[in-house]
Amino acid sequence: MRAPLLSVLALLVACGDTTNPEEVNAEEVITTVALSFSPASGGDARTFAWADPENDGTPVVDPIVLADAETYTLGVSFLNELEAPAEDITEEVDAESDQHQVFFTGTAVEGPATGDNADAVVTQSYEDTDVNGFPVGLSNTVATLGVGGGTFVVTLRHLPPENDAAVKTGTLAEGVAVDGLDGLPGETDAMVEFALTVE
Amino acid sequence: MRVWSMWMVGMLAAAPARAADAPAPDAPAPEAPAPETPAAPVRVGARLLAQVVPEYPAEALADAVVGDVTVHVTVSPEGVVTDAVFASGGPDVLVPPALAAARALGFAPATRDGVPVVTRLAVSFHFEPPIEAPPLEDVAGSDELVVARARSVASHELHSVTTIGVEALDRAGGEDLGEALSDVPGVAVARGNSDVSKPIIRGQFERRLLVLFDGVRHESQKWGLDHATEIDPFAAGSIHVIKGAAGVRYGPDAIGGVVLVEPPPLRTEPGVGGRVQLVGVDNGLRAVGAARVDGVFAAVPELTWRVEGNYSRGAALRTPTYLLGNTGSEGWNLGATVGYTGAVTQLKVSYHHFDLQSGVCYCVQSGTPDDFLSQLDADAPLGADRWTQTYTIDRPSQAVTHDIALARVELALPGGADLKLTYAFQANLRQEYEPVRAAITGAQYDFTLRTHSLDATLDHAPVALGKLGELAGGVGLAGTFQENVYRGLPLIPNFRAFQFGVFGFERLAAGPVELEAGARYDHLSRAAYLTRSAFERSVARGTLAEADCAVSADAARCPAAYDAATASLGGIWHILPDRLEARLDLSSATRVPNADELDMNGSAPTSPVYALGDPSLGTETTWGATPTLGLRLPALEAEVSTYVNVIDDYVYFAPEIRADGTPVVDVTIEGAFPRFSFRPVDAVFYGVDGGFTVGPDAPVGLTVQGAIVRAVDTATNAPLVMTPADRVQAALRFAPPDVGPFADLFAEASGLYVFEQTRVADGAELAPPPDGYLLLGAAVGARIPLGARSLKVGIEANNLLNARYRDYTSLLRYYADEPGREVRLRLGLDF
Repeated sequence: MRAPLLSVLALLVACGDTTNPEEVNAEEVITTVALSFSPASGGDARTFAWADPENDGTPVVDPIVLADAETYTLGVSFLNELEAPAEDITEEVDAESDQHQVFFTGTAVEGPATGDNADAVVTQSYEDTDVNGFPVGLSNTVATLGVGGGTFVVTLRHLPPENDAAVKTGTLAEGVAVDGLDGLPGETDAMVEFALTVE
Repeated sequence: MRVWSMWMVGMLAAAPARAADAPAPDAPAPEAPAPETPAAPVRVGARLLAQVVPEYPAEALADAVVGDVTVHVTVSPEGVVTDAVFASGGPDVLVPPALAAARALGFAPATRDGVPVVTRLAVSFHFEPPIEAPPLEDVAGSDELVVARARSVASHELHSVTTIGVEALDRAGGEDLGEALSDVPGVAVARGNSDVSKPIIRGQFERRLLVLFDGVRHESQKWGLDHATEIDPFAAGSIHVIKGAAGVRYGPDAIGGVVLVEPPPLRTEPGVGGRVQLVGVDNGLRAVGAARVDGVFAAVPELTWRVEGNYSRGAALRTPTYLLGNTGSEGWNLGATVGYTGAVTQLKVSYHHFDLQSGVCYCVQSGTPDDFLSQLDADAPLGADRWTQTYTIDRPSQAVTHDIALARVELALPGGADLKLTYAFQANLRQEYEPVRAAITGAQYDFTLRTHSLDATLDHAPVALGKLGELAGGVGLAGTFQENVYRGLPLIPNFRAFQFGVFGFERLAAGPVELEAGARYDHLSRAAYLTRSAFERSVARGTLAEADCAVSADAARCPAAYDAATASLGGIWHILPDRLEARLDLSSATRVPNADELDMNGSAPTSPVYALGDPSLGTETTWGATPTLGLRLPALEAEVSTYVNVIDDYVYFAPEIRADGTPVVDVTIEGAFPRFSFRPVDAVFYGVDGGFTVGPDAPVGLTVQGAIVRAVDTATNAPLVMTPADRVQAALRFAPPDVGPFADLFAEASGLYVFEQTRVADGAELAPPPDGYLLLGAAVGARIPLGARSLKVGIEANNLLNARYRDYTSLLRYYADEPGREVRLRLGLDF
């Protein structure tokens, strides 16, 4: 007796949205950080990715391998591979570049966000700026310093205004060099670590 | 003042001790305890001269309504009742005659050193339908006048009950429900990251508490630590806090206790009345306005109506040293009620809407654990110097609504039985907005919970069992259909659930002893609807078996069913009737795990942890004992209540620790998060709470309260996380005689000391518990009679010394100090 009664009740009061769970708002998710190193001397770009396309905490991380005595243009892109086709978040970051910045840290790199680093095998410098003339980090110059290896950490920080006042300044990277990433305002959208080797 | 019917007189034979205890009519009031020093004033309480029999309302005759109503009266130095305010009891139909009778009482005034002074008394009236003779009355002229057999929640509960009456609610005007309950011994407050809070009773959070609004279980996303209880305190006429497992009557998840939020009684006499309240708060520059209008049309006296509403808006709160950026809030509530009282039927239909938007402090770093850990030791949150005290609510923020519509029928059945049927529909929407790129609109976490409930209770007429005493009791049915729809970043699943419960209880009143036994059975069928990716994550983790779910291309339906039995046995022993009583409740309750405990899988928006449910969790069973001892004398009131709850398979939410003692972390693209999981442990909660008041009605009174909670995993002896720290509080109250236009003057100084929580398990805390803290408060208030109306004014100051502190059960403690000094000015006009 109970089952038919319950089904009638269910028909009366139930709405279909319960039984059709949706994946929504996945547009905020970044599943993949892709790096493209284009050599100044010509030739094909070297591409590496930190990718967790299912966003389930099981990333596949390409080791970065660069040639010695070379200067690269490093393009950074962010993807949401939960969407099909994959959504390119880089365009949104670029459109809101006054509220975003990419920072490069790790044992392998010397740049604005690291300060002096005797162990560095590459240097990094920003090649792009936002409307205020502050660095963004979607486009960079990376030069190799010698054979060796270390870690290369790429951090995308979202810097939304607070009480309508901008929190992004022109010297955030230099602040990271002193206080670390933790001293930054805003929130981390992505922070991934690569192993980097210069051959 | 005792007003007894013939039936009550019949009871006297069975309870000679109580009859002997009742002072004879017109007896002079006992004097206050002898003064210790010659300088101390000699006080004599007011003495009743003119007895008044309340008129038994004709509309209650057919229903044979029985009830008690307590009224607070103010007696002028002339011995005249200048004010009569409903305090507690009911049903509603009995309130107007009780108020009318109270206003007509005549007294010999209280004196102080022989000089007449104003006093306030509690007067209780017992109503029984007149059968053979008019109600007999009995009079006691002490400062506290109580009937021998009151039937209020506080008197029939086997647990410790604290009632927050009109006066305390007035003083709490503009605070949320959690804050309004914070002065009850054994209740702590869990504050969130915005201007909201929720109650913790005896160490149990809302998951194991029940909040009932007008008799209906409040249903919401109550698992969230920063999800405040969505109930408007302005809609309450009284709030009863029942401490202890009260599962039989209210549902098996009432482990810690039950909060009964009761609307004020509806008007019964023709005309229109109501109240307007205004509150201003300096911290957060907050303004609150509330109004309530009750009416009965003379042409249709059976019909009564109420319309109520309020609005509040606040800017960012301030700690002693910095602003809590983005903690502004805006809320409004609307309610409408219509009641009908017929010959044998009472009907009630009501609707209430709750709406709250609150900013979440900018200081909450919901980013990486590194961000989180690095700011733990900071003196001020990063960027605090940038924040401004604006009313604008920015991301991150919450927007919450709760709607409840209820319809109730009460029928007086032939033979004296009462049938009550209540249907209620509740819809709770919760949207949480994270800081996101401007291209993204809408909420990142979007919860919809719809609940239909149907409750039926049948109370049989009391059965006289001769020498054994009298048996009263009833049976009840509770049915619920609930749907949860979640859209957003992975967190909790959709679900659909049917639950029904059946319960019964009987009480034997035999002389000074009342015994009660109750039992309840609940069944819950629930199906979780998971997205395909969430389902696969659970299967990969080994917490869901594919065979347990019906899987389609993009979703999985995972059904589960639970049975739960609850039983209780207890009693009240009136050792000295109306003076000293002992209560004991022994109970066992089985709680069904909630959907979030089973299937939560994601990073919580305001905590830097990765939360993982366990679909294989079973029911948890509590075995509890709750003895309570209460003393009530004219000069001293005291209560102490202890409890032990042994909980088998207690669903515990805490960090996962590896065998080597290191925390388990989940790696996401935003970094590595410590994993918190739901898992069964055997636990015991025990403690003691209570307090005393010296001189409850004297010009100078002192109240001291304290609470201790212990919670331990019995397998490891490790303390459980988020157990409130020990606390003690005291309030000194001074009530001088009336001055000029001011009546009911009072001034109060209070202090709360919360100890540091030193009982913490290794590796179980994200941050060490904060230091203990002392908060001082002060309040003054008065009433200005304006003919038939009265204006109430008051100033309440909290954290008077502007102390910097953090609280162990506050989510904000990881990020920032609690708000500093707060001064509230309140104005109320009763008309």
